[in-house]
Amino acid sequence: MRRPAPRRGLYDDPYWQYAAAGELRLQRCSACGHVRYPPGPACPECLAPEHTWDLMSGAGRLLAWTVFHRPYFPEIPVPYVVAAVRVPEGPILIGNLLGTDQPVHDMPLRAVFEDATGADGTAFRLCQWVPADARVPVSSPTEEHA
Amino acid sequence: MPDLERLSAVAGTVAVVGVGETDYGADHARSRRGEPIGDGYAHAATALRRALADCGLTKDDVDGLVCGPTLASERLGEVLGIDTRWADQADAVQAVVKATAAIHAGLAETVALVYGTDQRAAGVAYGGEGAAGGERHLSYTYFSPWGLTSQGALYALLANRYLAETGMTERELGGVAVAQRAFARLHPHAVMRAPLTIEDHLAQPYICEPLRRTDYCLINDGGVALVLTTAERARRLDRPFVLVRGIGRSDHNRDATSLRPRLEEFYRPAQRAAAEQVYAMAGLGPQDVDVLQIYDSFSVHVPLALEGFGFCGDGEAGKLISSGDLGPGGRLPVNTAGGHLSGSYMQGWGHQAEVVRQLRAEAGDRQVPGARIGQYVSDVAGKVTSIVYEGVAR
Ligand SMILES: [Zn+2]
Repeated sequence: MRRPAPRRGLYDDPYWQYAAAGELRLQRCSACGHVRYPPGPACPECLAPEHTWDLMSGAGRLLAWTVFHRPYFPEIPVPYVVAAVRVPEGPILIGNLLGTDQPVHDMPLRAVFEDATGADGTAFRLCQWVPADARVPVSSPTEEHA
Repeated sequence: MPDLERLSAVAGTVAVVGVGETDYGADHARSRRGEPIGDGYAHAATALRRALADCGLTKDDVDGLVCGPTLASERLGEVLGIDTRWADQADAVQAVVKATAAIHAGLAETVALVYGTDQRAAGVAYGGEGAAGGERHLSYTYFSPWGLTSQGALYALLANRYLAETGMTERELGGVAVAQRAFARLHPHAVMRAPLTIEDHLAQPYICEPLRRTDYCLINDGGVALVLTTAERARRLDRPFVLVRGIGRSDHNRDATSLRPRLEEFYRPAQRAAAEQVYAMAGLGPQDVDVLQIYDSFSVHVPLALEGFGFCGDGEAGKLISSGDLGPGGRLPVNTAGGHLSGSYMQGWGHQAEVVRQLRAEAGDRQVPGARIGQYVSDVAGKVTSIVYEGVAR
């Protein structure tokens, strides 16, 4: 599946390296424990730069969604669903909602990883979301959406 | 806590004496026929020429210049032939705030605020690869791998949650587009003047659900200029003018990219903080506002502002919208020039010009009778600013 390539850089690179391995890891502040997203240089709670890249549970709840009817990227056909997902560790993450066409606010979700390729041919994996009870194997939903 | 004594010392000391705008509708029609209508600097020059004529001042009276965000300030000063002792660059609402502060401080006496855009002719993209604003708002571009882009999509996410929590229907929300179109039909320079019923609106295609094409702003070209000066000098000009009575601002940027203030708070805490200051400084409240202008890139800005600034309770905006009170003849006229949805997308600058025209009783068929207090509310992604204006008859 072709997708716009992610923004990369000093703080984003680790996120995408872990995602490529099928892991959802975010920065947790070593001083106060706050989990932040997007990745950044300092903890927005206490300003400490020290952090670890902690493995998230992969659970989440559906906060909001929108269905795109206008195409903005030539590589993504409409309609498609973009979801905002609140994870129990704190942050809100963005992903595509897969495996259901009947979203309900606050429904429990779980993270899965989907293979993608950027315009320049680089491969990466996207953290996506499916209903928590969906019968999709974690880390390999690509068969279902091929 | 705001220092009310210092704020009150500023209230009423600075006046808007001149406004100028380009002919949005006519220019848009010419542009669509393929005729060149000039670039952003051309629109800025037209608007300033008209604003100066409006107040009877000349370029030589101007000793301060605020350049809008879409133009290069050096080139604007060059094109307009204006040298100043004070200058800045700002968006529509911050331009008024900065000019007011500069005039109050004595850094300038008469400030021209000038905006011009050729966003349509230049093909500015508000979503997708290289989306405009992405350098200032990470959320406009950061989530591109998942296809999330455009300010509209971010407000669609908000609307999805907001409608569910408040019980507002898409039909109620559609009342915003319908009311503003009704005003645009009374405005000779509005871009969209064809009738729009609620059924017409609901038949429009979604762009990002639940927002439809008519929930989105226009993209057109034009310019706006305002001339601000001291209240003393305004009184010496033989023209009605408008005083800046109150200023409020609140920026909520924590968790902005991960959308928490947008999706979990609907920016209410930021709006309340700005409301508290603007009303305290002006010495009045929402019940005193005769005409309201709300920054409306998308229709959903309007209910958020109505609730956030206390024009109705939380979750009550749907009823207020469907009462018809926001449209012509209503109790709380909103975006009386048609706003960004139907009037002209001048990124809030046109809203300032319109509030001045209303408070000077020069708004023609769309005039709100007896309007004396006007308010502008701008909330772009949790950066909330509001200004209360008072008209002074001559
Ligand atoms: Zn911390």
